[in-house]
Amino acid sequence: MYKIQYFPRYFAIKIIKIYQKTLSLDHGWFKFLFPYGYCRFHPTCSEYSVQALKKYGFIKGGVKSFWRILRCNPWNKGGVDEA
Amino acid sequence: MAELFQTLFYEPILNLLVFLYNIIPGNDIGLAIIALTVVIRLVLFPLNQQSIKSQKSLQDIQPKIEGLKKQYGNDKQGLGKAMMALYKAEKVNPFSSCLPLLVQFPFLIAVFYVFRDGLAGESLDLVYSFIARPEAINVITLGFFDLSKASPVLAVLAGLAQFWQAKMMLAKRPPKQVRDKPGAKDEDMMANMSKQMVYFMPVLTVFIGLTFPGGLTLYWLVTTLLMGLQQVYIFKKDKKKKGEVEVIDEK
Repeated sequence: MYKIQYFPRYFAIKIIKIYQKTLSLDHGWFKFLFPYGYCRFHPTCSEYSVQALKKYGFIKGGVKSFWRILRCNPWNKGGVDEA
Repeated sequence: MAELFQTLFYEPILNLLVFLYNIIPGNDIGLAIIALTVVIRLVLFPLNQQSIKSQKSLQDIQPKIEGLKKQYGNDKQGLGKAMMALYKAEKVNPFSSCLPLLVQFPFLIAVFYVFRDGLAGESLDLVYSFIARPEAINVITLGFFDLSKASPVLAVLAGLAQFWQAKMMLAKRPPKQVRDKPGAKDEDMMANMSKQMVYFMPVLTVFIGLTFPGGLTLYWLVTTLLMGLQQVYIFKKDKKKKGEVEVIDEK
């Protein structure tokens, strides 16, 4: 049994995993459209979010994930950016 | 949350559609949908342009990427990092970014709802006061097409457009001689999957098109066509610049 305070982060991770399996252009059905990858960071935004949620929990991890997605824009160089 | 979505995305798109419906001669909802699609594509044009272009420029450093793949073998993490470094050194940025993509999602959902519910005539209360509110939207376009009902013709056309567009996307994948080198197993898997998707997606489009109102299918058809034309345009320009053809036929 997981402790109750872990529920939010596991729920969030579950949703991200479902996104990765389906709509994601880096992990899902449509990755064939981008043979070199879509996200400009490594790991990808969704993968980063999963790691951040695991490491920091729902609130802090969530904020970090949000900030990462904001940084993932055409004016950012991208690169390696671990959670 | 639902209200925020409605104010930020649903209402502007609905109003734009009604506005176009009002100003287009003959008050034809079909033409209004096409005009709305063109407007949305124009807004997204720069984003897509960059993404298609950079995918193309990658072919030049393909041999180096293959080298790295051999060197790292199964170490995906290390490979990812090394590739990043390579892109940086070669000043190639093959990537798009997540933010614009995620911003597009709500728009897509809003467009979906507008075409599904807006055409049913219930939601015209949401039209802004400064836009003339039509009594009801005439859902018949060109005199005989009922866009509030599912249309098999439009569904098949959308499927065909999808096939054309996906096929063209595939043609710009890495050259075959590179793909056949040992250690390119991953690439092969991808190629197989791509091939399946080229046929699978259009079929899926036809089935989805058969279940949704014709207006939505029309939107999808026009979007796909415009996306395809944008690709044609970029490939043509690229060919002129390099003076060589890089279209590779799938086996």
